[in-house]
Amino acid sequence: MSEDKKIKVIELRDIHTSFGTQTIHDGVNFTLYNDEIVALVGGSGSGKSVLFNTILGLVPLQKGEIIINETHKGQLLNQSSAPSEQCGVLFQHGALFSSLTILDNIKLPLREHTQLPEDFIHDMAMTKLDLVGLTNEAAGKYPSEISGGMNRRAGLARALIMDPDILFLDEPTAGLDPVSAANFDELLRFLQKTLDLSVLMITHDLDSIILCDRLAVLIDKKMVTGTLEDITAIDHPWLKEYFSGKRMRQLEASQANR
Amino acid sequence: MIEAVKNPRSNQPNHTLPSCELRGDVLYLQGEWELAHFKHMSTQLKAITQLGQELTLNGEALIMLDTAGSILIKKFAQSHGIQCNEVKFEHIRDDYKNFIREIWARNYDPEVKQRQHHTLIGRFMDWVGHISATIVHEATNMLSFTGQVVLCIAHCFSAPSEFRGKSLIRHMDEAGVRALPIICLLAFLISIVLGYQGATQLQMFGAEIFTIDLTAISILREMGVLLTAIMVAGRSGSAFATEIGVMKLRDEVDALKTIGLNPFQLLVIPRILSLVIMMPVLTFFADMCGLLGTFLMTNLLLGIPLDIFLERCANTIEINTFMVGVAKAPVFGLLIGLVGTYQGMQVKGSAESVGRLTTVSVVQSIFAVIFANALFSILFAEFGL
Repeated sequence: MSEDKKIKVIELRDIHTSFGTQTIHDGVNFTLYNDEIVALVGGSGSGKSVLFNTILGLVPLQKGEIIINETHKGQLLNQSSAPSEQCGVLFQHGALFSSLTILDNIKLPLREHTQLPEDFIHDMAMTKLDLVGLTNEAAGKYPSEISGGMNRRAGLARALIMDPDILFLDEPTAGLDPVSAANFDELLRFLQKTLDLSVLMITHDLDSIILCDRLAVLIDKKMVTGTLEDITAIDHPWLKEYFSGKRMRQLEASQANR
Repeated sequence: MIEAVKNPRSNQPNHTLPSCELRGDVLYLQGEWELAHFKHMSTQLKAITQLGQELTLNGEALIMLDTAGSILIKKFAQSHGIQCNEVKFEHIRDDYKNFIREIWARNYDPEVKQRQHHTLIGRFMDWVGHISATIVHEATNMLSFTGQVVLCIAHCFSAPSEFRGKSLIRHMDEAGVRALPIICLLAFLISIVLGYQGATQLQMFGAEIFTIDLTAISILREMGVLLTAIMVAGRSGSAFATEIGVMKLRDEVDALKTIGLNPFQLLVIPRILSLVIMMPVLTFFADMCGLLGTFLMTNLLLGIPLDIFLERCANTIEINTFMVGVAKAPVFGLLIGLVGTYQGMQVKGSAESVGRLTTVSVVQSIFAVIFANALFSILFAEFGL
């Protein structure tokens, strides 16, 4: 919960990444403000996931600066011993632990990082489970026993269990049917408003992109940010292709329907 | 912590501990009502014992509120017989109010799920029933699996073109040829151990020449084939289970079916046949290495020269001694192959089941081999071999 003043939750300054002779990022600058949803867009191999993992600290930072909350320098996971208090991460397929039930998956961060009594952990976990729209029946099941969409939701509940401020989503709607994807988008908006989250998500889903406050596009190893209108106005062949023709007409049609 | 930075009082080094005070029906909340101060929040709320019929939350001095805080207040209200929707709010920021309402609106099963049986007897009965049902289920499954294998092999005779020769050769190399060095070494070492133990005992009677009889016969009849089978079960049986299991997990087995290929024909038959063919070969090599070990041991320890060793062997070892051992080998190979591929086919769901079923395949195939060996002993004794 925060004041209305805009705070730079994550600031990237001049990030350079290269693997061997191949340069992935050549001076990426980006700021994520509080209480906004930003979509990270880019072609295959443009370094979205690498940037994502660099911010999180899953891969080492090669050159540049990451500043968290305007004061703390360094990658997110290196900031504290219980990073799930600070940021929640939803991996592409949920990444739930297959040997634990859905409920135990969600409880795991609380069990590991707090000394709460078990019944209160149960309250917390079930609250989050209901918040992401999963039923009581799903709680006792194993990840392999529920659908992909439900796995995604359960993964989201686990990411949110410690009330983080920042949420990272890696293609949350990829591989979901349009109805589930739309439901997931709505859920995300609802949670973002309710829990005051700052969300950074990798997505290719134009429907999800509409829901975002801003877009961050990785093109030519640099980052371009702005609202959907700003981005579509830029004269760049890849962007033109991405937001043009059939895809864009569908986008406009769906916008008109809203 | 991020919250500390976000809120305007973040410059204070210490967090503002949560506290609350009840005046009339109004609960004044102060400070940071969040997870990190769980103990503090619950002691504060527990201290309040007198509560009327109504509750109003005042959040003027509230700095932070998260899920944990909201749930604690909800439980506090409920423990005093006040329903969540009856709680009123005053001087509280809209986002806090909306947040509390959203958290409170969640409905779920409040009980932590308990196991059904509490008593030791109950749990024991549950376990026995579970095990029995599993055994029956497994036995029928295994039987139907064996039936499918037999049908598939029979089918190969009517349509030899469908038989996967290349795959068979590959598995014969993988499970047979590559296992040769370790099995030879093992047989060699075990024969030395056996011979040494026998020699020290027999020397006391001056009958050390019989060490050759003892070691050679036990290697040829029992140890050679048994050692080979156990090694192959640990090496290839587990590999079969894992290979097929991972393929099942990644839907590759289903993909084969959709292309119109029979997974049995492709995956199971070549693996089982490769063991049936290679087991006698491996056993033969194990036997030879065992005899070599016996000779070296008797030669170095007891000083028995080669010609006497060979003569002794020729006197005691009949062709049947050797055949009894080797005849068991294809059966053991069949058992190991069946168990390994069957367990692989049982994998479903998680990565964990691959590990579990691989372990089961090794344990079961070694058990099956030793059990079959016992049956063979009785059988051969009846036939006087």
